[in-house]
Amino acid sequence: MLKFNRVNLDPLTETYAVGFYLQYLAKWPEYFMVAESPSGEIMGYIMGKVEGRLPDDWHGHVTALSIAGDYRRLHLAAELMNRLEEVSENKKALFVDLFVRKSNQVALKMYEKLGYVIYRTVLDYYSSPDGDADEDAYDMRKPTSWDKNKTSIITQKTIITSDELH
Amino acid sequence: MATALNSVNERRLRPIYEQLDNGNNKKAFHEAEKVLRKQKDLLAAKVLKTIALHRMGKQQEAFALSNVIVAQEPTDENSLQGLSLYYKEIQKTELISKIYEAAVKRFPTNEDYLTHLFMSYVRHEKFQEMQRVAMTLYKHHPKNPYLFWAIMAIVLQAKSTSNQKLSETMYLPLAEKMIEKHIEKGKLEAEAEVRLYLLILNLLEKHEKVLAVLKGDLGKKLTSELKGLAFAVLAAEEKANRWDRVNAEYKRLLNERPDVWNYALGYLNSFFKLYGNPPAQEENSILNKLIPQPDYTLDQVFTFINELVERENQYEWNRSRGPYLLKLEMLLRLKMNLQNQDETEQLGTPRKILLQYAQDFSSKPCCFHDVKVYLSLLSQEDVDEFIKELSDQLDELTESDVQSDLSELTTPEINRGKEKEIQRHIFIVQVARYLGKHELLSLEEKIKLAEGYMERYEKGLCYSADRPLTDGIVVDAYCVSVVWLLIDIFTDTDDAMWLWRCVGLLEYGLTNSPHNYEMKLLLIRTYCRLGLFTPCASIYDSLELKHIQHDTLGYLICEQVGNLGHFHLASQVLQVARSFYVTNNKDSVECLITCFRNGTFHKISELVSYRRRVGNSLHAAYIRTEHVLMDLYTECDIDQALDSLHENVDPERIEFEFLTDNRDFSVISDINPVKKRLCDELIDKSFIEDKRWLCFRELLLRSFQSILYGARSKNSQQNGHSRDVDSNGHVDDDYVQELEKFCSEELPPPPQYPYHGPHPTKLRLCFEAKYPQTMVSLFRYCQGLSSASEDNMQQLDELSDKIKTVYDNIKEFLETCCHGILAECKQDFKATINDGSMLTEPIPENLLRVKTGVIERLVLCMEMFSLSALSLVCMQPYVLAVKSDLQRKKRKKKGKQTPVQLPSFINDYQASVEGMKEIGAQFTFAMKRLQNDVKIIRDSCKLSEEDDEDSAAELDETLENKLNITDSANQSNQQNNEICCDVKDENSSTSNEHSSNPVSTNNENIEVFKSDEEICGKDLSEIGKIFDRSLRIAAGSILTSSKQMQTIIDARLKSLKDLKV
Repeated sequence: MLKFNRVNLDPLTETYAVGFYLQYLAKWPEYFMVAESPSGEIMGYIMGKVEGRLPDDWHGHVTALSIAGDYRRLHLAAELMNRLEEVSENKKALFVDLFVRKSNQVALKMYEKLGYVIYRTVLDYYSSPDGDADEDAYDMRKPTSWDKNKTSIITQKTIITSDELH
Repeated sequence: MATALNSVNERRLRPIYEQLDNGNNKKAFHEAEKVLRKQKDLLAAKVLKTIALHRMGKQQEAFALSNVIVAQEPTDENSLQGLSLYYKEIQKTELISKIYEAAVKRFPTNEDYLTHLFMSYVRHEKFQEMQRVAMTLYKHHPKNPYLFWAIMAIVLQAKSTSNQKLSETMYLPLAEKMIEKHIEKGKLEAEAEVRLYLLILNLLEKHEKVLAVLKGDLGKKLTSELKGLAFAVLAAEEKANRWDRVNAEYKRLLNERPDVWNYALGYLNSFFKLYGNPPAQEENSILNKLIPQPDYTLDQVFTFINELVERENQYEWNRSRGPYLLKLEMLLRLKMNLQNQDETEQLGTPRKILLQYAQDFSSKPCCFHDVKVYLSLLSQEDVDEFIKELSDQLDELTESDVQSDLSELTTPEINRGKEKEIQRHIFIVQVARYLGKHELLSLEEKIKLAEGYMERYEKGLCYSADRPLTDGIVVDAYCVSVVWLLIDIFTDTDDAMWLWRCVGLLEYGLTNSPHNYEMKLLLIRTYCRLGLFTPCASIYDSLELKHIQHDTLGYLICEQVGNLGHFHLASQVLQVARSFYVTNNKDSVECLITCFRNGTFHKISELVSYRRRVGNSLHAAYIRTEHVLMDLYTECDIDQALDSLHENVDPERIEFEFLTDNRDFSVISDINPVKKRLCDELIDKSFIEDKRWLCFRELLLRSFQSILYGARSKNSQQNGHSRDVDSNGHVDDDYVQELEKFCSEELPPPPQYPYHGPHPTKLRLCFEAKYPQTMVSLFRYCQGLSSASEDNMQQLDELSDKIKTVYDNIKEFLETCCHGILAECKQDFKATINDGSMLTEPIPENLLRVKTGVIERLVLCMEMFSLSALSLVCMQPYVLAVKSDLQRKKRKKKGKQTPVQLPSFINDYQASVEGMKEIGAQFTFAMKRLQNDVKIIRDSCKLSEEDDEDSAAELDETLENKLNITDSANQSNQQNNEICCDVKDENSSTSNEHSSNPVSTNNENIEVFKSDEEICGKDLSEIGKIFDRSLRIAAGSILTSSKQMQTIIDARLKSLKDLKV
C-alpha cells in the first residue's frame, strides 16, 4: 500500500480507505495478488473475494484490478485474472463476476476476450472522475467448471439500478 | 420471564435506535428520556441517551452519564454494545476493556463477554491479557479458535519483546508445545491452524521440521492459495539451505512459466549458493531423468538460460520478457560476484542482448524500466555504439513499417503503429539521458535537442487522438524529457527563467493530457520553487490523493503550503492528513480483530508491522507538531491560540529512534543520469534532516507550551478564575535547555537533492535568521519574568539583553526581505535558434522579476514576530504583578508623596513592546510593497479585462473563506473529540469542497481565454497565454500570502497596542 502510487495515480483507479484493503487482506488473503517488476516496482494488483449463498450464488468477485500505465499491454491483467479464477475454482465457486465502467472500452474488451459476458447493466454505479453525471456499470460474469449448465449467466432482468443491487 | 422482559425492553429501545441511525440525535434523546421516565433504571436507554448527548455536542454531559452507567456494571448486551460504540466514537477504546472486565467478573464463563474482552485487548495490543482471556475461553468453551487465539497471542508476545532470548526459550517453545499437544490429540482442523504452526516453527528456525510437517498429513490442508503446499515446501527448502532441491525446482517452474520473475530470482539465488559447492550427487536422482537436475556450473546455467531464450525466440509475437531479463540479470550478477567476465561469451555481450531486448520490447513503455538496471553492464565505449545501434534499429523498423501498404490500414491501426514507433524513439531518448549523454551538451545544444523533442511532441499528438484521455498520451514523455533538459539548464545557470519555461511547457502539456500525474508532480515542484502556492492547490487536488497517500505523498505540499504563507489552506491540508492517521489507526485495528475472527493468523503480524510503520511515520509526527505550532502563530485571537496549544500538544514526546520514512519518491520515474538521480543515500540524508527539523519544531512547541501555559494560569488567577493547573505555573526548563543545545550543534553540509527529490527543510534558513537562538532568548526572558519578584530585581534587569536580542534579530532578518518581490528588470534569454518556438516564446518581464525566496523569508520572519509578540502579551501579568506589589509596598512605607521609582526591567518591557510595534509597522510596510508589486504584475497582464480583474486573488480568497469555515469547523470538531465515526465523511466532504473550488478556478480561466482569444488571439501563442495567465496566478498567490500575513501582523499589533504596564 505504501508503494502502489504509480498504479493508483491512474485517474480511473480508486484509492480506497485503508480499512477496505486490510479487510480484504484479513478475510480473503488468497484473493489479493500483486505483480512486481524486476526492479521491485508494483506493476499492478488484483483484489477480490468469494461470497454469496450456496447453492447457486457462491461466486468469486473481482473488486479491483489495475495495472500501472507503464506496464500495460503485457497481458498482466489477464494473468492476474486467470489466477483469481483458479483460486475461485479451488473454492468451488460457480462463477466469477466483476463490474466495469461502461466507457472503459479497453477493460471491457479484455474481459470479453477472457470469456466474460455482460450479465446486466447497473445504472449510475460509478461516480465520475470529472464530477459529471454518474456512470453505468456492466456486471460481467464468467462461469467456472462447477457451473455445468452455465446457468449463472442467464438473467431475468438485464438492467437494474444500483439500489436493486443490494 | 427473562425473555419476555427482554423483548419488552427491545421494543422500548427500538425507536431510540432508529432515531440514532437516522441521525436525529435530538429526537433520539427525547425518546430515551421518554423510556427512562417509564423505566428509570433501564441502563441500555441511558447508554443510548449518552450517545445522543455526545452526538448533540454535549460531550461532557455524555461522558459524565457514561461514568454513572459504568459504575452500575451493566451486563446486558444492549448496554455493553452501546457503550462500546460510544467509546469508539470518542476514541477511548481502552475503556471498552473496563466494562467487559466488570461483566466477566460477574459472569466469569460467559463466552460472549470473554470474546468481547479479548477483542478489546486486541485493540490495544495487550498480548498477555489476550492470552489469558483466550485460555479462559478455551477452558470453558473448548473450541479450536480460542486455543489458537491464545497461541497467536503468545507468538505476538514473542515478536514484540525486546528480549530475544525470552522469545526463543519461552514464548515460542510454549506455543509450539501447545499446538503439538493439540495435534497429538488429533484435534487440529483448519488450514489457518496449520499455518500458525508453520509460522511458529519458522520463527524457531526449525526448517527441517517444517518440511516434515508439510510432507505429512497436515501439509494437505494448505489448499486455499494456488499451489500453496508446493510453494510452502519450496520456501522451507530455501530456509533449510537445500539449494540443490531449490535450484532444480525453480528450474522446473521456469520451464513451465519462464515469465515469472520470482522463479528467475529463486533460480539464480540458489545457483550462486551452489556455485563452487556442487551438491553431493544422489544416485537415484541421476537415474530418474524426469526430475530436473540442479545447475551448479556456469555452463549448465548458460545452457539453461539459452534454452529458455531460444524457446521464447520461436514465438513471432507476444514474447515474454522473462528469459531475456534472466540473461541480463545473470550477467549483472556475474559482474558483481565474479570479477572475471571472460566466461560470459556463451550468453552474448550485454550490448547485443540489450539491443535484442529493445527490438522486442522498446515499443512498450515498460522497456526502459526493465533494462535501466542493466544499462550499467555497458562499458563506456559501448554506450555510444549502443545508442547508435538503437537508432539504426528504429530506422529499420520504421522502414519496414512504411513498406507495408498503409492504404489497407484503418486509422486506428496506423495510429497504434505510429505510437509504437514514437515509443521506440522515446526509449532511445530515455536511455541516452540515463547514460549521461545530455550532460555533455552545451546550453545551445540542449535547447536544440529540446526543440527537436517538442517538434516530435507536436507532430505525434494526433496519433493518440482516438484514445480516451485517461489512457495518457505516448508523446507526453517528450514533454517530460524537455522539462528535464530545462531543469538541467536551470541547475547550471540558477536562472529562474528556465523554471518559467518548465511551467509553460507543463501547463501546455497538461492541456493536451490532463491526467498525466508525472507532469503534475513536476509542475507542483516547479511552482513551489518559484515561491507560488496558489496553482499547486488545484493541481494537487486533481491528483485526488486519498487515505494512505496522505502518508506516502503528503510530502509533496504539506510543508510548502505553510512555508509559502497560505496558512488557511495549510491548516486544512494538515487537518485532513491528521484525520487520516486517526482513521487509519482505528480501521487497521478493526482488521486485526477480523484476522482473529477469520483465523488468518499469518496476516496478523503483517498487520501489526503495518500499524507500527504508519503509526510511527515521520510525516505523521511532523503533521501533528506543525499543525499545533501553526495554530499558535497564525491564530489571531491569542486566547484561542493558547487554548489550542494547551489542548492539542501530544502528551507523549516524539520517539525519534522509531520514526519511519514512508515517503514514496518513485512516483516520478527517474530517467536522469547518475549524478542527478535520487539515490537511497540521499533519501536517508533527507530523512535525517527532516528529523532534525522536526526536533526543532517539537522543542519550540513544547517550550512554548510550558512557558505560556504557566503565564496563562497566572493570568487567570488574577482574573479570579482559578484554573485546574497541575503545573502550578511552574516553568519547565528542560526543553529550553535542549533547544540551547540544538542551537550550538553544527549543521551538516547541505545535501544536494536532485530537483525531483525531497524538499530541503527550512533549517538552514532558520539558522541564517537566528531563529532558534532568538527563541532561546525569548524563552529565557519569559522564564525570567515569570519568576519575577522583589527579591530578584537585579537579575531581572539583566534580562533586557535577552529581549533586545529578540528584537534585533527579527529586525535584522526582516531587512533581508522587506524590499518587495520584484527584482530589477531582467533580460529574457534570446535564443538564436528557431525563433518563435515554444522554448523561445518571450516570458513577460514581470514574471522573470519575481524573486523566489522572498515569501519564504517573510513567512519565517512573521512567524518569529508573531510568536514573540504573543509571548510578550502573555508575560504582561507578571510585570503588572511586580509593579503593583512595589507600588503597594512603597505606598505603605512612604505614604503618597513620592512617585514610585520603577525598576528598569519594567521599563525595558515597555520598550520591547514598543520595539515590537515598530517591527510590526515595518512589516506592514513590507506587505504594502508586496501588494504594490502585485499590482504591477497584474497590470502587465495582457489578457486581463474588467470582469477578470483580481480574479485569481478573489478566487483564492473565496477558496480561503470556504476553507476557513471548514477549518474552524474542523477545529471545533477536534476540540470536541467528535471526529471519530464520521471522519471518512468529514474528509470526503471537506476535500470535495476543497476540490470544487480550484476546479472552478480553472474553468473560469479557460472561459476567460475563450473570450480573450478573439481580442488578443493574434498577439499570443498558446504558451504566451499560459505565461500571461501565470502573471495573474503569481500576483494572486503573492497577494494571498501577503494578506494572510498582514492579518496576523495586524492582530498582533492590536494586542500589543493595549499592552501598557
